[in-house]
Amino acid sequence: MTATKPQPARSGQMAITVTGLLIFLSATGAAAPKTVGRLQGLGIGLTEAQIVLHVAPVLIGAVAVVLAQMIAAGRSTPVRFGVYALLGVFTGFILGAALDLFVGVSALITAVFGPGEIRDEHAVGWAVTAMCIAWALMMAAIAVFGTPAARALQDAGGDPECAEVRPRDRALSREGALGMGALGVSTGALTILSQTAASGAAAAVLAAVAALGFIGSTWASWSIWRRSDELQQRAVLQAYTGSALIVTAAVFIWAIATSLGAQLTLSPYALYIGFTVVQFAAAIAANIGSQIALSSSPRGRTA
Amino acid sequence: MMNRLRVLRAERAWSQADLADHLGVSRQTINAIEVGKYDPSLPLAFKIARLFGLRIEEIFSDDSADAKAAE
Repeated sequence: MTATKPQPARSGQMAITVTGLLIFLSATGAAAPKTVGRLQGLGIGLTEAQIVLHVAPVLIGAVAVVLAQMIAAGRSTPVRFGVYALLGVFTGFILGAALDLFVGVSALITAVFGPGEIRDEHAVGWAVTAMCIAWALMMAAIAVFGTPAARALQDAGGDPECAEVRPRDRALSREGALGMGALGVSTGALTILSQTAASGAAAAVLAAVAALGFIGSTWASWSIWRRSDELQQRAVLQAYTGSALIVTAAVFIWAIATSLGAQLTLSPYALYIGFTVVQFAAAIAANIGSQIALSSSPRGRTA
Repeated sequence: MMNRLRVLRAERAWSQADLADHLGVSRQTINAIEVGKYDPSLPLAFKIARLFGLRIEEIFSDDSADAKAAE
């Protein structure tokens, strides 16, 4: 057994990955009518406005990644995550303002299940669905391609050994991909069920897909938990503890507000999506907290 | 808690992943222990000690105890 000398991720790899993803997203979208109208108000032609709205988010996103890497270089993991999250939200905002994404999917849902009323919670539900599927695809790429995929997804400031994918990591990534994919499919099916007037066989199929996806996701979580070591299990426990505290506090405030006469009604669907978002946030926070050393300086506190 | 894990690992020319394989834990756990962000459980600490043929206190030391001794 010999020491390996892993190569650090190159700064360009992540930028290329993100740019490729943005090009894909841009290709699925149609220029947002409101924003097209604003550009036309500035004297820009319809075709030109549509081209600008397809190209601008890609360019802005690519610049944001490079900028994030420059700002984050050499900083601690929480700061790096914070910088990426901030510029990610900014890019997401630009993307959302410029394009209506996955218009084909939206049209397909309407054609199959009929028209629906998309409320705010459904928009969040679709965001959760998209995040689950994107996460699943990243994990699947690591499971299939191993180290090259991990390097392409890692920012240059990280510990090079983080990108070394071993057979055990591949197995965990495979199960993680299955779990996240199942959760994404489940949430998507539930969202369609909630936002459309699907009935009969279509509703039964959607409910079955949602239920099977949820069961698959739960199974994958349990399987990953059993394979995890003590640090990883601690991170999971911290995530669940944190999310339970947040949810309890939120329901407590809701109870008080309702008792005082406030009209705060939420559907079970909205509650489920809210719980899922809180769990995601808690899981990410616990992961960063527990594995904070992942991409820190290679100097250890040695006795 | 401070430790000599990185030094002991370097003496054997092992990567973090190599040591993780020996101990049956993830590489992240080794890294977290080395940089002092995570104190291992007693079973894992004993496993580490056995692997290096040392006593636990020869690998891990208490920050506050060391500081007191220095005074």
